[in-house]
Amino acid sequence: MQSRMPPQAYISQDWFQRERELLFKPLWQFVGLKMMLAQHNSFITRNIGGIPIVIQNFNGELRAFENLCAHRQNPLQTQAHGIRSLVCGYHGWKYSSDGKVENMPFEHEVFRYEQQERECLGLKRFRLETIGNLVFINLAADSLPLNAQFNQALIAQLEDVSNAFDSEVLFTTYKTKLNWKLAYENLRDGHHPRYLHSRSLYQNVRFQVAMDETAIKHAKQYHANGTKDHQQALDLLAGFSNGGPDEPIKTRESYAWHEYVERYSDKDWYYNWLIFPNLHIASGSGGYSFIIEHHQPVSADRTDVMIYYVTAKKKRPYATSAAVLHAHLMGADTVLREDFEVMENIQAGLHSNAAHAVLGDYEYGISAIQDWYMDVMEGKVTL
Amino acid sequence: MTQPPDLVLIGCGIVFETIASTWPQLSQGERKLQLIRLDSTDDAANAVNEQLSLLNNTEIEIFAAIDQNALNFARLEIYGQARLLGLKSTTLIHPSAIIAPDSRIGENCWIGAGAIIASGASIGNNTLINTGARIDYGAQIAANCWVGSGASIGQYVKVGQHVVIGSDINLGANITVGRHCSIDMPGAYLTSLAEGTFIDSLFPSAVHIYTSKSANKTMPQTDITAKEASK
Repeated sequence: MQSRMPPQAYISQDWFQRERELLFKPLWQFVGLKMMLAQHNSFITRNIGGIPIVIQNFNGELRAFENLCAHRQNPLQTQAHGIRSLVCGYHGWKYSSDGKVENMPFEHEVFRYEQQERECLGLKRFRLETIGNLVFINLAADSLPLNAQFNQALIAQLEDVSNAFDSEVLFTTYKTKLNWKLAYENLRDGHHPRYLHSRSLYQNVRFQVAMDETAIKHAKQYHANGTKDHQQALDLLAGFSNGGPDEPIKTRESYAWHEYVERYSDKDWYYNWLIFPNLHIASGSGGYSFIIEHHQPVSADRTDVMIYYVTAKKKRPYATSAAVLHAHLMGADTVLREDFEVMENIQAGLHSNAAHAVLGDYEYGISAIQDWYMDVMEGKVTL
Repeated sequence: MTQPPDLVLIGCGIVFETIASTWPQLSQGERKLQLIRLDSTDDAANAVNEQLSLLNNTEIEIFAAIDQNALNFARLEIYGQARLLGLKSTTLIHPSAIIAPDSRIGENCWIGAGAIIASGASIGNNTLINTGARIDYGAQIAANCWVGSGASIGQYVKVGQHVVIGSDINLGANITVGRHCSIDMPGAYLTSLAEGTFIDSLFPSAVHIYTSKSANKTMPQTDITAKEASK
């Protein structure tokens, strides 16, 4: 069936701006890992939907604010991650956990704000929720509850798996030339690994497409009829995120460090969680280690792919843990680059008169998301 | 005059092959060389354990020569295993290297052809300094490191354990490179690097390992508290 997605959805900057408002603003978005925010005053900074965000730990409470000082809009935290109280380096304003200005040096000598004006000074705060070690924020003032975006079974699984993550995290960012939607479509395409990853990932995990006839029938009906009502839109949204054991691993390698971590599971399976819109968690080692892949849209044709590698929680510190994470990075890099190359080629070839994709039955999952997405973008569904 | 003990060279890779091929120059014909060549660096200690346990520690010295694999942990596995078995390890210096008399060099170190170790510099155990590298005055390189060919380490630089400094890397004076770093993109580095930083041409953005411990150590000390600023 022909996809409803026009090429503009992948290449137009106007479309991208509208997408930020209609899709990303109301949805909960992953921003980072709680293990990186474990101590008082630890923080991470991100740019979500074009807004600079700081997530900061205040005595154990995580808060999300716009990362701009209320005085002259200077970024409060300038590093991607660290431990530092929420103080502006420009004029020394310090903020408390509610985002109010706790201390303003020389307030009465040089600033002399009227009382009413002074009381209004503060940071824009955003809603923040955690599922296990995964931190999500929402940019909309009146937004969906988190459990409307993800179903309870998935929330329980994500809590379980992310609580298995170790606190030592390797983090890097790939700056890719592709639209973020190509990434989620690629991840939901179980047929490509045997070709694209024939000499890498597929050697060890024989991914099979799932021809779920009932789901295919529903996807076709949905493609023909569109979204019925708001409740159906929410039900579909919750169904877009799922995961768990995906395929058995042909030969699971054994390493000495496996003895030093608490394995997430005792099954030699490839674990895979796809969390809509732009988060992917996988374990290619049967629960000994994990990759957390966050596709952060930058513009219509640019996506920062932020990658976190962790092992399962350590039973005790061991000397080679940094080398283990480094080896994971180098190993996964091959597969990631195989994917990026194809997606960047697709992106480079798109133009305003390009044909729509023609999806096969096995792509019913992509089709359902695309149809839902188009209903959101065309205003037939409001989140 | 006592005959120096023979050397058992264990490992694989560039340094292993270099030592093997230049042994006549290195030993000046006085010592015999026995090779234990590994096919792979995986599980290296177990692979050689039996052979190591048969060696007589009064008659031989060993040298573990594996390149920078796994942040030098692969080499440490063999070196550590040999030491646990009571074997002695030696340091090998190419005759063309220039070593200041007051520099300090640990055991199981390799100083390659044309390398220069300046006055007051120190090199920890199990660190390999490759051809033409230069370690400037007072620089301190910790144990289990790798310095690639042509790299230069500026004066008073401090390099932590298990660091890989690739070929043609120049570290400016007085900086600190935290442990577990890998710098493999040629160029000049003038600012300190936090532990767990990987700089590689594969990754345009530097890769970092975060632990609560490293975050404390590496964050810039620019936290002006309001109280202090008010003073």
